[in-house]
Amino acid sequence: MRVVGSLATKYAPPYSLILHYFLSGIVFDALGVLSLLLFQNRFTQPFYTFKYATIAHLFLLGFVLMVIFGALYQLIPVALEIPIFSFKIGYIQFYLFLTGILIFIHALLNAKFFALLPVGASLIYISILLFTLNFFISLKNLEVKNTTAKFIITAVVSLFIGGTLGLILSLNFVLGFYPKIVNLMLAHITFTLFGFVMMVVMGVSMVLFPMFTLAHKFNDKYIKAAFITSIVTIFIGGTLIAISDSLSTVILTLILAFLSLSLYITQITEIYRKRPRKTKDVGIDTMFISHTFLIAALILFVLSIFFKSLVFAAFTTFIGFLNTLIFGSLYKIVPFLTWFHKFSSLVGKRKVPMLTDMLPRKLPSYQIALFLLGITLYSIYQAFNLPRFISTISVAFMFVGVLLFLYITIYTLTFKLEE
Amino acid sequence: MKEKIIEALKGVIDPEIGFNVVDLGLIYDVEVSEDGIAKIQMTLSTPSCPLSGTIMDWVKSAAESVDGVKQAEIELVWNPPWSIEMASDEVKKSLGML
Repeated sequence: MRVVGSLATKYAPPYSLILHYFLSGIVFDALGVLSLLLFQNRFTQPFYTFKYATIAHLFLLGFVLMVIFGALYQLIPVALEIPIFSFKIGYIQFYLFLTGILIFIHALLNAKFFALLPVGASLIYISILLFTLNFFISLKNLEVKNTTAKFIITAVVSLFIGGTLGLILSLNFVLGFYPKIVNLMLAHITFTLFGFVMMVVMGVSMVLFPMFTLAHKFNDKYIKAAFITSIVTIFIGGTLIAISDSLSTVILTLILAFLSLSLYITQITEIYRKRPRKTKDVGIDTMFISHTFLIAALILFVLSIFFKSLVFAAFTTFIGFLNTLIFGSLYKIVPFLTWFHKFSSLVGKRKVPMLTDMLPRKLPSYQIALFLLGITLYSIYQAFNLPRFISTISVAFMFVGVLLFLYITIYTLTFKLEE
Repeated sequence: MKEKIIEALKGVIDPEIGFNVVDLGLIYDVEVSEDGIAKIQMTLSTPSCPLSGTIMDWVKSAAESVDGVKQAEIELVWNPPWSIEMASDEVKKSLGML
C-alpha cells in the first residue's frame, strides 16, 4: 500500500511522539557538549578509553540517535511511501531508550555502578529491537525501491548488528569472555556510526536536499556509487574487523569508508551547484555548511595515519558535521511539524503563517554562528595546544549555542497566530 | 469557468516555498464538463512532499468553491516530472534564479 497523496492526513505520526525524541535529543546535546568541559585533555589518548566512550555515547545515543529515531518516524512514510506499523511501539521504544541511556552513561561515569552497564545496554538494545521490528513490519507494504529506501533499509540492518555488538561489548566488560575487545569496538563503530548514522544521513539527504532546494535535474550517480561502496564497507569490512587481527583489514575498511563519504560529498556538491533555490535560508544553508566539517573530518582521518588525530576527526564528525547538520535539518522539520499540527486545518478559513514565519527572524543565524565559532575555537585549541581557558570559552559558546537552539525550538512549538 | 478555477487555485499556497500552486507550475491541466465536474491534473514539487495529501485537498476545496463547479476530481501525475522551469518568472526571480 503506497501512501502518496493521503499520507499527510492519515499516516502522519503523532506530533507528541516526534517531540519526545527531538526535545530529549536537544537536552542530551547540551549535556554532551557540556561533558567536553569535564574532559579537557588534548585529543591524544586512544579512542577506546571510557572517557571518550562516555562523551561519544552521550552525544551519539542521547542526541544523534534520539533525533534520527524521531525524524525517521516522520520521514519513513514520506520517503518510503509506507505507513508506520505502530506508533505506540515508538512511545515504548522512546522510554526504554531514554532509561537505558541514563543507566548506561551513569555506569560509564561512576565506577561503583559499572556493573549496571549491561542493564543500560540491554534496555537500549530492546528499544533498538522494537524499532527494527516496527520498521520491518512496516516494510511489508514497500513498493518503491529508490535510493533512499535502500540506504534506510541497510541502515536499520546495520543498527541491529551494531546494537547486538554493543550489547555483547557491555557484557564482555563485566564478564570478560572475549579477549578481542578492540576488534569488537571497531566493528561496533563500523555498524552503528557508519552503518546506521551515516547511511541514514546519506539516504535522508537525498530526500531533504532536493526537496528544500527544489533541485531535480542533477546526476545521482555519485550517491549510487556511494551506496555500493558503503555496503562493502559495512558488511564485509565490519565483519572482518570483528574477527581478524589484521591491521590491513582496518585500513582497507577506512579507505572504503573514506571513498564512500567522498562520493556522498560530491553528490551534495552536485545538488548545491544545480539548486534552483538560491535565496538565503538558515536551515538549508546550515545543512550545506555542515558538510565542510565532514570534509575536514575526512582530512583528519587521513592525517591520523601520521598524527594522533583520530579522536579529533571523531569530534569534527560528531559536533562539527552531525550536530550542525541536525540543527539545519531541524530548522526545516520542526516548523513544518508544528505548522501541520496547528495550522494546516485553518487553510482557506483564515490567514496562516508561512514556515519561515515560525522561526525568530535573526536569532537562528546568530545561534548557528555562535555554535560554529565554538567548534572552530575548540578545534584551534586542540590543534595548537592553546591555554585551557580557550577550551572553556569555546565549550561555553557551543553550550549557549545549543541552549539557544532549544529556545528557538520551543519558540516554534509554541508559535501562535496573531489575533 | 476554467479561468475562474485557476484564479481560485492561486489561493492554494505551498507554506514551505511561499508561492501558490499555479505560479509554481504544479497545475498541468484544468477541464470542466458541462455538468460542473472539474478535472484537475496536477503534480508536486517532489514525490516525497510531506504535504501531498493536504495540498490535493486544498486544490479540491478551492476548485469546488467556484460557482458552477459541483465536484472537483484531482489527478496526481508524475509525468512530466516537475522542474523549476515550469514556474512563473516571478517565482524564479524570488528564488534567486533570474
